[in-house]
Amino acid sequence: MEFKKPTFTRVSDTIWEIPKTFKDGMRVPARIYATEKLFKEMDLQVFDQISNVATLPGIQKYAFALGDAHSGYGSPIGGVAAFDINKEGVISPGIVGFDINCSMRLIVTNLTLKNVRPHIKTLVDRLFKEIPAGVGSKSKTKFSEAEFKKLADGGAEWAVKAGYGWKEDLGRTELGGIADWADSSKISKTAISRGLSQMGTLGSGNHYLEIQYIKPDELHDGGLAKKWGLFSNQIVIMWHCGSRGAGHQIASDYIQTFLKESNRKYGIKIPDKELASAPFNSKEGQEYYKAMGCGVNISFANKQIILQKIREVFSEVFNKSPESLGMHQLFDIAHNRASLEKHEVDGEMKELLVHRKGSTGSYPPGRTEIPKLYRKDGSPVIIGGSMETGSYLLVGSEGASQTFDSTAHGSGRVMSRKKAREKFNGKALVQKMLANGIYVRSATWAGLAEESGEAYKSIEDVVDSVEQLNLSRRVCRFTPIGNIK
Amino acid sequence: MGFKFLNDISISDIAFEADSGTLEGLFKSAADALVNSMIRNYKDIKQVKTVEFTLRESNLESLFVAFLEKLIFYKDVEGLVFNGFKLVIKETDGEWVVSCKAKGEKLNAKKHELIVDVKAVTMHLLEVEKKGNGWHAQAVLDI
Repeated sequence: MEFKKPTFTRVSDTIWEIPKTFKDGMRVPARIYATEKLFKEMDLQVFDQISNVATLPGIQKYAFALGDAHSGYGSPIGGVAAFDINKEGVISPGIVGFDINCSMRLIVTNLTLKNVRPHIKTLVDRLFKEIPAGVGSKSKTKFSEAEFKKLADGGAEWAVKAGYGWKEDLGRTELGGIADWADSSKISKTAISRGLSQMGTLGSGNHYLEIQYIKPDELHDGGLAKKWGLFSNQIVIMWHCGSRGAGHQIASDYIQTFLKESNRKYGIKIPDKELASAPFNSKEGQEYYKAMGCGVNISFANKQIILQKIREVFSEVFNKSPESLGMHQLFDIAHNRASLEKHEVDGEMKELLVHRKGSTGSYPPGRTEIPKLYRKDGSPVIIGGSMETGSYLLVGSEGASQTFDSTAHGSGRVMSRKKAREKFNGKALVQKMLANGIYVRSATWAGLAEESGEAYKSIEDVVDSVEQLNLSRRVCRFTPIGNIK
Repeated sequence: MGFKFLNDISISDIAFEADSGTLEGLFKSAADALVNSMIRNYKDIKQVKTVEFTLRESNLESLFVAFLEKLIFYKDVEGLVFNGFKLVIKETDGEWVVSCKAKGEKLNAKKHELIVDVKAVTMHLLEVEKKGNGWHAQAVLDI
């Protein structure tokens, strides 16, 4: 399939603009925030999709694609779009993403590389057994429909009360671990059925759990790192997952509802059906917002259950309590969500619904979206790299106001899954990674080949890009030593 | 006839196109593409369990999506995957109806060569249309 190449205006070294004249119906220009290298790596479909987003009612300033952007559906992955909820602004499941509240979660330990290296195989094998991953994976933790509804209404707050994790985890999670606007009466029986036996599972694709450490020369902001409890050679655990089948079903259900009812009812013209939308302040818009809240909570609860399993496994292997191993959560931050936030637009403070699809909130110091623990510092931003390279902890910078306080979310793919499977061999990849000090367990060889590091952009390029744009800055880098997926 | 994966659409997900002389054949090919996205040796799935369902939608595209999503539902909830389909598709009084008898078995990681999980069928660049003497579809699956 061929996509038209826009004529770009280069606004600065790191900003490219697609004018409103590129496509019929564009209400604002689209902008790409990336270094030249990353910009040139983007597939043409990214520009087509972000220009489509620019046609939606109520969009403010620009439709944004960030440095890790790659083609998705509806909106590119790595997209940001904010809508004025008091002026025809819409909500769109397609630019929230199917995996509602898909996020990165990071916990620290007081263990060092020296403590963990001899046990890495046992740890990874035990985690692989306790936290199911891959096609059709089911959890040992099953819920009744009534319990699941409570989980969907209560998120991590419900999970902590039910014995999954510690109370302090909530203060180290976005939104305090609960989307308090959620209403489980707005999600279908099908969504609930899909979620009942998937809580505490990772999923597949690019979802993973890693044991990582901090190399001594990769504490980029030593002062902030120390304040946040990070030190050289420290072991941390990072994982990437979301709301599983239930979240996807919520998105599917409401895209169909919006297509059949809202677009016609509210006269919204969309260039791609995946961008089905409803005014935020309409009956349909509010129903999806409440259902999306359930997706957010399902994701929070899923990660709380996984957190509990991780603490149990480490406790068992080291024969110490998780408390004495210092297994504190550092943060959980989403990259697939729509958030109600206040931002200044042309000198006026507006209430906006900021859709981030494959992009992360990066709030500068003082923003109320940041939990109190970190508010003076700026929000922690977790950027997951490919399984062969490494990941980053960043902090929100003042310049993020350019993109409605948004930054990149990961490396971003450069190769299709099929091509990666043809080019790489899962078994050989495991051996190569083992030789590089990373022990991997995967439910699938083919799925592993799809996630080869060479199928992704360089994480260094992505982080360089957001630093140059002053969207976020480096705190430290993490190097993987164990991975399950 | 059959299906083909497309490499240049939505690189982080899976796109495919399917063709058939009949609408029932088109839905069957799309179902095969969906299952083959998840299981490399999908032709080896044994047809030992049967499920039957009927779906109704106001248009053909929605019916196509609902049919594939029903198969995702069975995979997630019952752990069932299929490679045998008996389908009847009709349009009556402005409503599209598919009656399906699907045959397959429980997912088994020891036997099925698993690839990646499909979690939804997107509306992105979705096509379900009559083409020449047959039918053509294109879809992007969310991974």
